[in-house]
Amino acid sequence: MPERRRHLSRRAIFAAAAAILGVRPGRAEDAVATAETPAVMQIGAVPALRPMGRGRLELSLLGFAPPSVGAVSAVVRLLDGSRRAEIGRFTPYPAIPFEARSEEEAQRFQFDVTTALLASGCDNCNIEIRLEPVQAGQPVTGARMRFGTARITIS
Amino acid sequence: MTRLTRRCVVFGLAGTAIGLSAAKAGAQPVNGISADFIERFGSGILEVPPKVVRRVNAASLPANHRVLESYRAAINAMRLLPQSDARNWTRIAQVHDEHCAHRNWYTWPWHRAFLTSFERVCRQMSDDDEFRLPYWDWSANRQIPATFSQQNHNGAPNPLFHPRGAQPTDALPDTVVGPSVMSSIIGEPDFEAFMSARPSGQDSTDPKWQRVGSTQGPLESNPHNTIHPWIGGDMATFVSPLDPIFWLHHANLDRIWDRWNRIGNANTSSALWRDFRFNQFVNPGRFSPIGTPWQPRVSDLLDIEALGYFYIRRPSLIDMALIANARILPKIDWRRVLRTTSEVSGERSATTREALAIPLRGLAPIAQLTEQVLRPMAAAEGGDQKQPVTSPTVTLAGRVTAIVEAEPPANAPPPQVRVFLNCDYLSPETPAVDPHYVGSFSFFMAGHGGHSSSDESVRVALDLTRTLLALQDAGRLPKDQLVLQLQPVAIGRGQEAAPIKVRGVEIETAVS
Repeated sequence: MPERRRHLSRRAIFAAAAAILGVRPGRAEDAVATAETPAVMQIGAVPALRPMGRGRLELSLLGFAPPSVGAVSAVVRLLDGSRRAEIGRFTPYPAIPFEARSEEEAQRFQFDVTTALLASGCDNCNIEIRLEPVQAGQPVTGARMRFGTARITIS
Repeated sequence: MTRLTRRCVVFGLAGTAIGLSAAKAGAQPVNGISADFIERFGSGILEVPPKVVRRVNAASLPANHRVLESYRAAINAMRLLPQSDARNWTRIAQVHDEHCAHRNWYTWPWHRAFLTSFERVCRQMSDDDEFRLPYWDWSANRQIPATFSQQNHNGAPNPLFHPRGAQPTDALPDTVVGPSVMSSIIGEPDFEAFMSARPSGQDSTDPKWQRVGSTQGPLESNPHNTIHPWIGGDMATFVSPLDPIFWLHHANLDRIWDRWNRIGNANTSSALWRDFRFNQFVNPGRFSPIGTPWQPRVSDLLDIEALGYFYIRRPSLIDMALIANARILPKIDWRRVLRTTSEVSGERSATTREALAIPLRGLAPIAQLTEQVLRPMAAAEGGDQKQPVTSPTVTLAGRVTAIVEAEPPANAPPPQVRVFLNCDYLSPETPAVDPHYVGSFSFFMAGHGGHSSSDESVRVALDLTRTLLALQDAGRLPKDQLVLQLQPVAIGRGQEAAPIKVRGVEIETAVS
């Protein structure tokens, strides 16, 4: 019986670990989004969702510089080959510059990616984060976001 | 200004007495009452139950409405108080700057307490016991309420005005507060995803956890966070309560949390959340006119009527549309679907100038249909319906779907076809947020190759359930017959759509 219990708990730990897919940026500079250039972070393959299952993306923001005028949104998209699906937007608040010294100091944001995963699957996915003005047509000059990690959790 | 009433004096004396006895007990007194005293007797001991008054939508208030006049009077009075007074306008903003909970699961309860405390100060300073904060429903009214953008009011400086980056004519876009954003928030069933998550590593209710960041959910990250810098000025910072619009913005977020609960979503039972106590607020006009500490636990903040206010009890039209758009449609057992066909006499055309109206004959009487389909049911995991309501997940009892068969125009660019139910004022400009709106479809790749043929006709399924729900909520359900309307709109500005042909409509009704 103790043998069996140990076996089960190992299996449970393995299953839990397998459900969380760590994501790392490809290169350090890829994880910085500016007004001109989006950040791109690699995910790789995500297992298929189970019936009634859900997928969530958690993204950490390590640094932020607001635009000189107006407000900026980070538009988060899931890329899979030529397909792209918007999965959410966020804005840091307060809109003042910050730089985290570690992941513990990061601001974190989560998004439901269930629909995006169901629609496009994810065999070799990337996350793209593009900076856009909240008010269309307004420039976001000077805006910058630096990202740490991202991970997709399947439950 | 504050009127010194007999009640103030009585409570003031009582507060002093309590403060003295608490100080004798040896604890560190705060505004005359020790933390030990509050710990022993709980926060409720300080409360005379307030009247329960509705918080109203700011959009419904004329500039001279009593609520706005009381708000102006309170702001003017708070600005005149000395910095040493906890009710001073700037001091209150500092409470937010130094203590606000953000980026974790205390965000919304902390702000509920902050607003409740502020509302009490406003009542006292305006001498209006009925005063409750109005809310700014930014999904329905995308511009900052006009009364907050006017520099003067009745010939005097308007205290609701504040320098901002956003112009009075700027409107919040759909990407921040539109139906798809709001329906995904309202439809989020997971507590920590809706509220923002538990602080990373939290293992106690020690006050230090109040400002430890965690993962922000969509309500906080967008729209809450986005609207702050969109308004700009002080609103972009943590001294945002200096701008009078702050309180209306947060009243609306508080309303959304209340609505999320009312549609059947439960708050967590975790003691780490419920037993957490906030220590930064004052409760004026009870034991002391200048305010005694009010230190509610999160669990003290979950019944808003006990705090003295409520929001409209019937969900608003937009709420209903959002809720319906979210995940309350039931799974269908397709073996039990009733199908009816509405003949379209011959092939009839719909044009931009003349929408096509198709009476849906053969359906059950509307009263019977809505009773069968729009009845809320508790949904067990997997989407099966079991008991009538109040389980955490609610679905409707059925669905009504229209299947439209239509043919694109020959030798012309295909239009978008907008579909409505019983809209008396339908025009090409009727927006998709109208309660009569059902959905839209178009003809992918039609017309390519320089011709069109009957092979290019499409069959489109359109769910009517959420529109029926929105119409029922608005009291606009027709008594006799449902009429489906097809309104072609040219894709491209200033053009007129070429006519489309409609061959028929089938209606599928599924009731669990």
